[in-house]
Amino acid sequence: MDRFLATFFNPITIATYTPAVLEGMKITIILAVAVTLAGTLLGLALAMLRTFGIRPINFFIIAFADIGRALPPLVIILLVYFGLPGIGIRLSGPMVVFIVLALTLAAFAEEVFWAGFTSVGKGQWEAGIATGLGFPVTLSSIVLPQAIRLAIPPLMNRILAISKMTALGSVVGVQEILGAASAAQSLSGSATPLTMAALAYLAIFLPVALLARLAERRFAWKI
Amino acid sequence: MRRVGLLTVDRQMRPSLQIVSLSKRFGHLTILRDISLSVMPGELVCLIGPSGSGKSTLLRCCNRLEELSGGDILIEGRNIYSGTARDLKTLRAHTGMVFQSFNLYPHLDVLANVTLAQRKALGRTRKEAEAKALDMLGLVGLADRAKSYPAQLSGGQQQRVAIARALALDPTLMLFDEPTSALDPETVGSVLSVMRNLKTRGMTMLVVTHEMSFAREAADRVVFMDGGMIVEEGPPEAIFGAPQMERTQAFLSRLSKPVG
Repeated sequence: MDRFLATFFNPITIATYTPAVLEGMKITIILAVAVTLAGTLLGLALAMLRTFGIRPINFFIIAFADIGRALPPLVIILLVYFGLPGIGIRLSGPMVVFIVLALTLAAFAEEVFWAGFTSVGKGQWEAGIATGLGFPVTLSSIVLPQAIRLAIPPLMNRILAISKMTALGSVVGVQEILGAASAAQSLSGSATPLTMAALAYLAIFLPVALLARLAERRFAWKI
Repeated sequence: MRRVGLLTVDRQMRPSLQIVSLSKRFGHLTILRDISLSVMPGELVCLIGPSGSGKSTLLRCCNRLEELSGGDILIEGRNIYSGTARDLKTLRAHTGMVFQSFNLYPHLDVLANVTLAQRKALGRTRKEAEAKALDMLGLVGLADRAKSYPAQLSGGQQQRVAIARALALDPTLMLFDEPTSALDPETVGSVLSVMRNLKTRGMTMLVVTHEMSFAREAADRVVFMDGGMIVEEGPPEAIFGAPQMERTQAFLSRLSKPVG
Protein backbone atom coordinates (compact mmCIF):
# COMPACT_ATOMS: atom_id res chain seq x y z
CA MET A 1 0.00 0.00 0.00
CA ASP A 2 2.83 2.35 0.86
CA ARG A 3 4.46 1.54 -2.40
CA PHE A 4 1.27 2.27 -4.26
CA LEU A 5 0.87 5.61 -2.54
CA ALA A 6 4.53 6.48 -3.07
CA THR A 7 4.21 5.75 -6.77
CA PHE A 8 0.94 7.48 -7.52
CA PHE A 9 0.42 9.94 -4.70
CA ASN A 10 3.91 10.99 -3.56
CA PRO A 11 3.28 14.09 -1.44
CA ILE A 12 6.64 15.68 -2.14
CA THR A 13 6.20 15.29 -5.88
CA ILE A 14 2.70 16.68 -5.63
CA ALA A 15 3.97 19.74 -3.80
CA THR A 16 6.78 20.25 -6.28
CA TYR A 17 4.77 19.99 -9.47
CA THR A 18 1.42 21.44 -8.52
CA PRO A 19 2.30 24.87 -9.99
CA ALA A 20 3.33 23.28 -13.30
CA VAL A 21 0.14 21.23 -13.53
CA LEU A 22 -1.98 24.26 -12.65
CA GLU A 23 -0.23 26.21 -15.38
CA GLY A 24 -1.00 23.26 -17.68
CA MET A 25 -4.65 23.39 -16.68
CA LYS A 26 -4.79 27.01 -17.70
CA ILE A 27 -3.45 26.20 -21.15
CA THR A 28 -5.76 23.21 -21.50
CA ILE A 29 -8.78 25.31 -20.59
CA ILE A 30 -7.85 28.10 -23.00
CA LEU A 31 -7.24 25.64 -25.81
CA ALA A 32 -10.43 23.69 -25.09
CA VAL A 33 -12.58 26.80 -25.01
CA ALA A 34 -11.04 28.17 -28.19
CA VAL A 35 -11.45 24.84 -30.00
CA THR A 36 -15.06 24.52 -28.83
CA LEU A 37 -16.07 28.00 -29.92
CA ALA A 38 -14.28 27.99 -33.25
CA GLY A 39 -15.25 24.42 -34.12
CA THR A 40 -18.91 24.80 -33.19
CA LEU A 41 -19.36 28.11 -34.99
CA LEU A 42 -17.58 26.92 -38.12
CA GLY A 43 -19.61 23.69 -38.09
CA LEU A 44 -22.86 25.62 -37.68
CA ALA A 45 -21.94 28.05 -40.46
CA LEU A 46 -21.15 25.16 -42.80
CA ALA A 47 -24.40 23.35 -41.96
CA MET A 48 -26.40 26.53 -42.57
CA LEU A 49 -24.62 27.11 -45.85
CA ARG A 50 -25.46 23.52 -46.78
CA THR A 51 -29.20 24.15 -46.36
CA PHE A 52 -29.09 26.50 -49.34
CA GLY A 53 -28.52 23.43 -51.48
CA ILE A 54 -25.87 24.86 -53.80
CA ARG A 55 -24.34 21.75 -55.26
CA PRO A 56 -20.65 22.59 -55.75
CA ILE A 57 -20.51 24.21 -52.30
CA ASN A 58 -22.24 21.24 -50.70
CA PHE A 59 -19.75 18.92 -52.34
CA PHE A 60 -16.91 20.71 -50.57
CA ILE A 61 -18.75 20.83 -47.25
CA ILE A 62 -19.48 17.10 -47.37
CA ALA A 63 -15.91 16.32 -48.42
CA PHE A 64 -14.59 18.45 -45.57
CA ALA A 65 -16.89 16.80 -43.03
CA ASP A 66 -16.07 13.27 -44.17
CA ILE A 67 -12.33 13.78 -44.36
CA GLY A 68 -12.29 15.68 -41.09
CA ARG A 69 -14.15 12.91 -39.35
CA ALA A 70 -12.05 10.16 -40.88
CA LEU A 71 -8.57 11.48 -40.10
CA PRO A 72 -7.06 10.95 -36.64
CA PRO A 73 -6.22 14.44 -35.31
CA LEU A 74 -2.84 13.22 -34.05
CA VAL A 75 -1.74 12.45 -37.58
CA ILE A 76 -2.64 15.93 -38.79
CA ILE A 77 -1.07 17.59 -35.77
CA LEU A 78 2.22 15.81 -36.45
CA LEU A 79 2.00 16.42 -40.16
CA VAL A 80 1.31 20.13 -39.76
CA TYR A 81 3.77 20.71 -36.93
CA PHE A 82 6.68 18.84 -38.46
CA GLY A 83 5.80 19.16 -42.14
CA LEU A 84 4.86 22.79 -42.68
CA PRO A 85 8.20 24.25 -41.55
CA GLY A 86 9.65 22.40 -44.57
CA ILE A 87 7.78 24.82 -46.83
CA GLY A 88 8.54 27.80 -44.65
CA ILE A 89 5.34 27.91 -42.56
CA ARG A 90 6.12 27.79 -38.89
CA LEU A 91 3.21 27.54 -36.47
CA SER A 92 3.51 27.28 -32.71
CA GLY A 93 2.48 24.04 -31.03
CA PRO A 94 -0.66 25.51 -29.42
CA MET A 95 -1.65 27.09 -32.73
CA VAL A 96 -1.33 23.76 -34.54
CA VAL A 97 -3.38 21.97 -31.90
CA PHE A 98 -6.00 24.71 -32.00
CA ILE A 99 -6.35 24.69 -35.79
CA VAL A 100 -6.42 20.92 -36.16
CA LEU A 101 -8.85 20.28 -33.32
CA ALA A 102 -11.11 23.18 -34.29
CA LEU A 103 -11.33 21.85 -37.84
CA THR A 104 -11.98 18.32 -36.56
CA LEU A 105 -14.74 19.57 -34.29
CA ALA A 106 -16.15 21.66 -37.14
CA ALA A 107 -16.36 18.53 -39.30
CA PHE A 108 -18.34 16.68 -36.63
CA ALA A 109 -20.39 19.72 -35.65
CA GLU A 110 -21.38 20.30 -39.26
CA GLU A 111 -22.80 16.78 -39.43
CA VAL A 112 -24.55 17.15 -36.08
CA PHE A 113 -26.16 20.44 -37.05
CA TRP A 114 -27.02 19.11 -40.48
CA ALA A 115 -28.79 16.17 -38.85
CA GLY A 116 -30.65 18.75 -36.77
CA PHE A 117 -31.64 20.71 -39.86
CA THR A 118 -32.87 17.63 -41.68
CA SER A 119 -34.96 16.46 -38.75
CA VAL A 120 -36.89 19.72 -38.67
CA GLY A 121 -39.92 18.83 -40.78
CA LYS A 122 -40.52 20.16 -44.26
CA GLY A 123 -43.78 21.60 -42.92
CA GLN A 124 -41.86 24.07 -40.79
CA TRP A 125 -40.11 25.46 -43.85
CA GLU A 126 -43.41 25.58 -45.72
CA ALA A 127 -45.20 27.36 -42.90
CA GLY A 128 -42.51 30.03 -42.86
CA ILE A 129 -42.41 30.43 -46.63
CA ALA A 130 -46.21 30.42 -46.89
CA THR A 131 -46.50 33.28 -44.42
CA GLY A 132 -44.27 35.46 -46.58
CA LEU A 133 -40.99 34.91 -44.79
CA GLY A 134 -38.08 34.44 -47.14
CA PHE A 135 -35.69 31.51 -46.99
CA PRO A 136 -33.10 33.27 -44.78
CA VAL A 137 -35.68 34.40 -42.19
CA THR A 138 -37.36 30.99 -42.17
CA LEU A 139 -33.96 29.45 -41.64
CA SER A 140 -32.88 31.76 -38.83
CA SER A 141 -36.19 32.26 -36.98
CA ILE A 142 -37.91 28.93 -37.42
CA VAL A 143 -35.61 26.12 -38.44
CA LEU A 144 -32.34 27.11 -36.75
CA PRO A 145 -33.66 27.30 -33.16
CA GLN A 146 -35.22 23.86 -33.54
CA ALA A 147 -32.14 22.39 -35.20
CA ILE A 148 -29.86 23.72 -32.47
CA ARG A 149 -32.07 22.21 -29.82
CA LEU A 150 -31.88 18.83 -31.49
CA ALA A 151 -28.14 19.19 -31.99
CA ILE A 152 -27.11 20.16 -28.48
CA PRO A 153 -26.92 16.74 -26.79
CA PRO A 154 -24.85 15.03 -29.53
CA LEU A 155 -22.81 18.19 -29.95
CA MET A 156 -21.93 18.30 -26.25
CA ASN A 157 -20.63 14.74 -26.46
CA ARG A 158 -18.54 15.62 -29.45
CA ILE A 159 -17.16 18.76 -27.81
CA LEU A 160 -16.18 16.68 -24.81
CA ALA A 161 -14.45 14.07 -26.96
CA ILE A 162 -12.52 16.57 -29.02
CA SER A 163 -11.65 19.23 -26.47
CA LYS A 164 -9.93 16.68 -24.26
CA MET A 165 -7.78 15.79 -27.24
CA THR A 166 -5.86 18.93 -26.35
CA ALA A 167 -3.73 16.33 -24.55
CA LEU A 168 -2.30 15.59 -28.00
CA GLY A 169 -0.52 18.91 -27.66
CA SER A 170 1.99 17.12 -25.43
CA VAL A 171 3.56 15.53 -28.52
CA VAL A 172 4.31 18.90 -30.08
CA GLY A 173 5.65 20.54 -26.94
CA VAL A 174 2.52 22.27 -25.71
CA GLN A 175 2.73 22.62 -21.95
CA GLU A 176 -0.89 21.77 -21.32
CA ILE A 177 -1.76 19.34 -18.51
CA LEU A 178 -0.32 16.21 -20.02
CA GLY A 179 2.73 18.02 -21.44
CA ALA A 180 3.52 19.52 -18.06
CA ALA A 181 2.84 16.25 -16.28
CA SER A 182 4.99 14.08 -18.51
CA ALA A 183 7.84 16.55 -18.23
CA ALA A 184 7.44 16.34 -14.48
CA GLN A 185 7.32 12.59 -14.67
CA SER A 186 10.66 12.41 -16.51
CA LEU A 187 12.26 14.76 -14.04
CA SER A 188 10.94 13.11 -10.91
CA GLY A 189 10.90 9.54 -12.12
CA SER A 190 7.54 9.21 -10.42
CA ALA A 191 4.11 8.40 -11.80
CA THR A 192 2.58 10.89 -9.41
CA PRO A 193 2.51 13.80 -11.89
CA LEU A 194 0.48 11.63 -14.25
CA THR A 195 -1.99 10.96 -11.46
CA MET A 196 -2.15 14.69 -10.97
CA ALA A 197 -2.78 15.08 -14.71
CA ALA A 198 -5.63 12.59 -14.58
CA LEU A 199 -7.20 14.42 -11.67
CA ALA A 200 -6.72 17.76 -13.44
CA TYR A 201 -8.50 16.44 -16.53
CA LEU A 202 -11.33 15.18 -14.38
CA ALA A 203 -11.58 18.55 -12.68
CA ILE A 204 -12.02 20.23 -16.05
CA PHE A 205 -14.00 17.73 -18.08
CA LEU A 206 -16.18 15.96 -15.55
CA PRO A 207 -18.28 19.14 -15.10
CA VAL A 208 -18.55 19.33 -18.88
CA ALA A 209 -19.82 15.75 -18.96
CA LEU A 210 -22.37 16.56 -16.27
CA LEU A 211 -23.39 19.65 -18.22
CA ALA A 212 -23.88 17.47 -21.31
CA ARG A 213 -26.13 15.18 -19.31
CA LEU A 214 -28.11 18.16 -18.06
CA ALA A 215 -28.46 19.59 -21.55
CA GLU A 216 -29.70 16.26 -22.80
CA ARG A 217 -32.53 16.41 -20.30
CA ARG A 218 -33.15 20.12 -20.67
CA PHE A 219 -33.47 20.01 -24.43
CA ALA A 220 -35.48 16.85 -24.76
CA TRP A 221 -38.70 17.68 -26.59
CA LYS A 222 -41.66 18.32 -24.39
CA ILE A 223 -44.42 16.52 -26.21
CA MET B 1 -81.40 30.65 -50.69
CA ARG B 2 -77.81 29.94 -51.76
CA ARG B 3 -76.95 33.54 -52.44
CA VAL B 4 -77.80 33.06 -56.11
CA GLY B 5 -78.56 36.73 -56.41
CA LEU B 6 -75.29 37.65 -54.78
CA LEU B 7 -73.35 35.35 -57.03
CA THR B 8 -74.61 37.04 -60.16
CA VAL B 9 -73.30 40.29 -58.75
CA ASP B 10 -70.03 38.56 -57.87
CA ARG B 11 -69.59 37.39 -61.42
CA GLN B 12 -69.09 40.93 -62.57
CA MET B 13 -66.36 41.43 -60.01
CA ARG B 14 -62.76 40.45 -60.37
CA PRO B 15 -62.13 36.96 -59.00
CA SER B 16 -60.00 36.70 -55.88
CA LEU B 17 -58.32 33.70 -57.39
CA GLN B 18 -58.21 32.79 -61.03
CA ILE B 19 -56.55 29.62 -62.25
CA VAL B 20 -56.17 29.48 -66.02
CA SER B 21 -55.46 26.18 -67.82
CA LEU B 22 -52.97 25.12 -65.22
CA SER B 23 -50.94 21.99 -65.73
CA LYS B 24 -48.36 20.34 -63.55
CA ARG B 25 -45.99 17.55 -64.39
CA PHE B 26 -43.35 15.66 -62.45
CA GLY B 27 -41.15 14.22 -65.18
CA HIS B 28 -43.45 12.15 -67.35
CA LEU B 29 -46.16 12.06 -64.73
CA THR B 30 -48.98 14.54 -65.21
CA ILE B 31 -50.38 15.61 -61.86
CA LEU B 32 -52.71 18.35 -63.03
CA ARG B 33 -54.20 18.72 -66.48
CA ASP B 34 -55.73 21.89 -67.88
CA ILE B 35 -57.33 23.18 -64.70
CA SER B 36 -59.34 26.38 -64.87
CA LEU B 37 -61.10 27.63 -61.78
CA SER B 38 -62.13 30.97 -60.33
CA VAL B 39 -62.98 31.87 -56.77
CA MET B 40 -64.98 35.05 -56.28
CA PRO B 41 -64.52 37.39 -53.32
CA GLY B 42 -66.34 36.02 -50.29
CA GLU B 43 -66.90 32.66 -51.91
CA LEU B 44 -66.16 29.34 -50.23
CA VAL B 45 -65.15 26.68 -52.73
CA CYS B 46 -64.54 23.10 -51.63
CA LEU B 47 -62.23 20.83 -53.60
CA ILE B 48 -63.20 17.19 -53.17
CA GLY B 49 -62.05 14.00 -54.79
CA PRO B 50 -60.15 10.78 -54.15
CA SER B 51 -56.61 10.76 -52.75
CA GLY B 52 -54.03 11.44 -55.43
CA SER B 53 -56.47 13.40 -57.56
CA GLY B 54 -54.23 16.47 -57.36
CA LYS B 55 -56.38 18.62 -55.06
CA SER B 56 -53.60 19.44 -52.63
CA THR B 57 -51.09 20.05 -55.39
CA LEU B 58 -53.51 22.48 -57.01
CA LEU B 59 -53.94 24.31 -53.73
CA ARG B 60 -50.19 24.44 -53.17
CA CYS B 61 -49.67 25.94 -56.61
CA CYS B 62 -51.78 28.92 -55.51
CA ASN B 63 -49.06 30.31 -53.26
CA ARG B 64 -46.24 28.71 -55.18
CA LEU B 65 -45.30 26.08 -52.68
CA GLU B 66 -45.40 24.05 -55.89
CA GLU B 67 -44.33 25.41 -59.24
CA LEU B 68 -46.66 24.78 -62.14
CA SER B 69 -45.65 23.53 -65.57
CA GLY B 70 -48.13 25.49 -67.66
CA GLY B 71 -50.96 27.98 -67.35
CA ASP B 72 -51.37 30.95 -65.04
CA ILE B 73 -52.62 31.80 -61.59
CA LEU B 74 -53.92 35.28 -60.79
CA ILE B 75 -54.66 36.49 -57.29
CA GLU B 76 -56.56 39.76 -57.08
CA GLY B 77 -55.86 40.10 -60.78
CA ARG B 78 -52.10 39.78 -60.40
CA ASN B 79 -50.16 36.99 -62.00
CA ILE B 80 -48.25 35.25 -59.23
CA TYR B 81 -45.65 34.03 -61.68
CA SER B 82 -44.57 37.45 -62.82
CA GLY B 83 -43.19 39.92 -60.37
CA THR B 84 -40.20 40.07 -58.09
CA ALA B 85 -39.23 37.90 -55.16
CA ARG B 86 -40.51 40.71 -52.93
CA ASP B 87 -43.92 40.60 -54.67
CA LEU B 88 -44.03 36.87 -54.08
CA LYS B 89 -43.39 37.29 -50.35
CA THR B 90 -46.16 39.89 -50.10
CA LEU B 91 -48.47 37.64 -52.05
CA ARG B 92 -47.73 34.70 -49.78
CA ALA B 93 -48.26 36.77 -46.66
CA HIS B 94 -51.69 37.83 -47.95
CA THR B 95 -52.63 34.34 -49.07
CA GLY B 96 -53.31 32.42 -45.90
CA MET B 97 -52.39 28.76 -45.92
CA VAL B 98 -53.63 26.20 -43.43
CA PHE B 99 -51.89 22.83 -43.51
CA GLN B 100 -53.17 19.40 -42.68
CA SER B 101 -50.43 19.01 -40.07
CA PHE B 102 -50.83 22.55 -38.63
CA ASN B 103 -47.09 23.25 -38.83
CA LEU B 104 -47.04 25.45 -35.79
CA TYR B 105 -43.58 26.37 -34.57
CA PRO B 106 -42.99 24.08 -31.57
CA HIS B 107 -40.26 26.25 -30.04
CA LEU B 108 -42.49 29.34 -29.87
CA ASP B 109 -45.55 29.99 -27.77
CA VAL B 110 -48.92 30.62 -29.41
CA LEU B 111 -48.54 34.40 -29.35
CA ALA B 112 -45.10 34.23 -30.96
CA ASN B 113 -46.42 31.79 -33.56
CA VAL B 114 -49.03 34.35 -34.59
CA THR B 115 -46.78 37.42 -34.41
CA LEU B 116 -43.63 36.11 -36.13
CA ALA B 117 -44.63 36.67 -39.75
CA GLN B 118 -46.53 39.84 -38.92
CA ARG B 119 -43.29 41.33 -37.67
CA LYS B 120 -40.82 39.79 -40.08
CA ALA B 121 -42.89 39.74 -43.26
CA LEU B 122 -45.19 42.73 -42.81
CA GLY B 123 -42.87 44.81 -40.64
CA ARG B 124 -45.39 45.42 -37.86
CA THR B 125 -44.13 46.42 -34.44
CA ARG B 126 -44.32 43.94 -31.62
CA LYS B 127 -47.17 45.90 -30.08
CA GLU B 128 -49.23 46.04 -33.28
CA ALA B 129 -48.54 42.38 -33.98
CA GLU B 130 -49.53 41.26 -30.50
CA ALA B 131 -52.75 43.26 -30.55
CA LYS B 132 -53.64 41.74 -33.91
CA ALA B 133 -52.67 38.28 -32.72
CA LEU B 134 -54.87 38.50 -29.63
CA ASP B 135 -57.72 39.69 -31.85
CA MET B 136 -57.32 36.74 -34.17
CA LEU B 137 -56.87 34.28 -31.30
CA GLY B 138 -60.12 35.65 -29.90
CA LEU B 139 -61.77 35.03 -33.24
CA VAL B 140 -60.76 31.35 -33.13
CA GLY B 141 -61.67 31.12 -29.45
CA LEU B 142 -58.17 30.76 -28.04
CA ALA B 143 -57.31 34.18 -26.61
CA ASP B 144 -56.64 32.55 -23.26
CA ARG B 145 -54.00 30.21 -24.71
CA ALA B 146 -51.61 32.89 -25.98
CA LYS B 147 -48.85 31.79 -23.62
CA SER B 148 -49.24 28.06 -24.24
CA TYR B 149 -46.87 26.08 -26.41
CA PRO B 150 -48.24 24.12 -29.36
CA ALA B 151 -47.47 20.79 -27.66
CA GLN B 152 -49.79 21.75 -24.82
CA LEU B 153 -52.75 22.16 -27.17
CA SER B 154 -55.07 19.61 -28.72
CA GLY B 155 -54.95 19.10 -32.46
CA GLY B 156 -58.07 21.15 -32.97
CA GLN B 157 -56.66 24.00 -30.90
CA GLN B 158 -53.38 23.86 -32.80
CA GLN B 159 -55.21 24.07 -36.09
CA ARG B 160 -57.19 27.06 -34.87
CA VAL B 161 -53.92 28.76 -33.89
CA ALA B 162 -52.65 28.02 -37.39
CA ILE B 163 -55.77 29.68 -38.79
CA ALA B 164 -55.20 32.69 -36.53
CA ARG B 165 -51.57 32.83 -37.70
CA ALA B 166 -52.73 33.07 -41.30
CA LEU B 167 -55.56 35.53 -40.55
CA ALA B 168 -53.23 37.87 -38.70
CA LEU B 169 -51.57 38.71 -42.02
CA ASP B 170 -54.84 40.14 -43.41
CA PRO B 171 -55.22 37.60 -46.20
CA THR B 172 -57.46 38.26 -49.17
CA LEU B 173 -57.72 34.53 -49.71
CA MET B 174 -57.42 31.54 -47.41
CA LEU B 175 -56.22 28.16 -48.65
CA PHE B 176 -57.05 25.13 -46.51
CA ASP B 177 -55.25 21.88 -47.25
CA GLU B 178 -57.32 19.15 -45.57
CA PRO B 179 -57.50 21.16 -42.35
CA THR B 180 -59.32 18.49 -40.36
CA SER B 181 -57.77 15.29 -41.73
CA ALA B 182 -55.19 14.99 -38.95
CA LEU B 183 -57.64 15.75 -36.16
CA ASP B 184 -59.37 13.59 -33.60
CA PRO B 185 -63.05 13.37 -34.48
CA GLU B 186 -64.08 15.31 -31.38
CA THR B 187 -61.99 18.35 -32.32
CA VAL B 188 -62.97 18.50 -36.00
CA GLY B 189 -66.12 20.44 -35.19
CA SER B 190 -64.27 23.32 -33.52
CA VAL B 191 -62.14 23.89 -36.62
CA LEU B 192 -65.08 23.66 -39.00
CA SER B 193 -67.08 26.12 -36.95
CA VAL B 194 -64.19 28.61 -37.12
CA MET B 195 -64.22 28.17 -40.89
CA ARG B 196 -67.98 28.73 -41.05
CA ASN B 197 -67.52 31.83 -38.95
CA LEU B 198 -64.89 33.10 -41.40
CA LYS B 199 -67.29 32.58 -44.24
CA THR B 200 -69.98 34.65 -42.58
CA ARG B 201 -67.37 37.38 -42.21
CA GLY B 202 -66.88 37.32 -45.96
CA MET B 203 -63.51 35.56 -46.18
CA THR B 204 -62.68 34.04 -49.55
CA MET B 205 -61.74 30.41 -49.08
CA LEU B 206 -60.54 27.49 -51.14
CA VAL B 207 -60.76 24.30 -49.10
CA VAL B 208 -59.47 20.85 -49.92
CA THR B 209 -61.50 18.56 -47.73
CA HIS B 210 -62.82 15.10 -47.10
CA GLU B 211 -65.56 16.48 -44.83
CA MET B 212 -68.45 16.02 -47.22
CA SER B 213 -71.05 17.25 -44.77
CA PHE B 214 -69.08 20.48 -44.36
CA ALA B 215 -68.76 20.87 -48.13
CA ARG B 216 -72.44 20.20 -48.59
CA GLU B 217 -73.61 22.66 -45.98
CA ALA B 218 -71.01 25.46 -46.05
CA ALA B 219 -69.64 25.64 -49.60
CA ASP B 220 -70.96 27.99 -52.26
CA ARG B 221 -69.47 25.75 -54.86
CA VAL B 222 -68.03 22.26 -54.87
CA VAL B 223 -65.38 21.14 -57.32
CA PHE B 224 -64.86 17.43 -57.84
CA MET B 225 -61.42 16.42 -59.06
CA ASP B 226 -60.15 13.07 -60.23
CA GLY B 227 -57.02 12.06 -62.11
CA GLY B 228 -55.62 15.60 -62.09
CA MET B 229 -58.67 17.11 -63.77
CA ILE B 230 -61.79 18.94 -62.73
CA VAL B 231 -64.53 16.44 -63.46
CA GLU B 232 -67.48 18.44 -62.31
CA GLU B 233 -68.28 21.58 -60.40
CA GLY B 234 -71.40 23.28 -59.18
CA PRO B 235 -73.40 24.25 -56.13
CA PRO B 236 -73.27 21.60 -53.41
CA GLU B 237 -76.89 20.58 -53.82
CA ALA B 238 -76.22 19.77 -57.47
CA ILE B 239 -72.93 17.92 -56.88
CA PHE B 240 -74.18 15.94 -53.90
CA GLY B 241 -77.83 15.75 -54.92
CA ALA B 242 -77.63 15.04 -58.63
CA PRO B 243 -74.06 14.54 -59.87
CA GLN B 244 -73.93 14.49 -63.64
CA MET B 245 -70.68 12.67 -64.26
CA GLU B 246 -70.18 8.97 -63.72
CA ARG B 247 -66.92 9.43 -61.81
CA THR B 248 -68.55 11.86 -59.39
CA GLN B 249 -71.39 9.45 -58.82
CA ALA B 250 -68.97 6.58 -58.22
CA PHE B 251 -66.90 8.64 -55.77
CA LEU B 252 -69.88 9.86 -53.81
CA SER B 253 -71.56 6.47 -53.66
CA ARG B 254 -68.32 4.91 -52.38
CA LEU B 255 -68.36 7.49 -49.58
CA SER B 256 -71.93 6.82 -48.57
CA LYS B 257 -71.35 3.08 -48.34
CA PRO B 258 -70.46 1.83 -44.89
CA VAL B 259 -66.75 1.10 -44.52
CA GLY B 260 -65.66 -2.57 -44.31
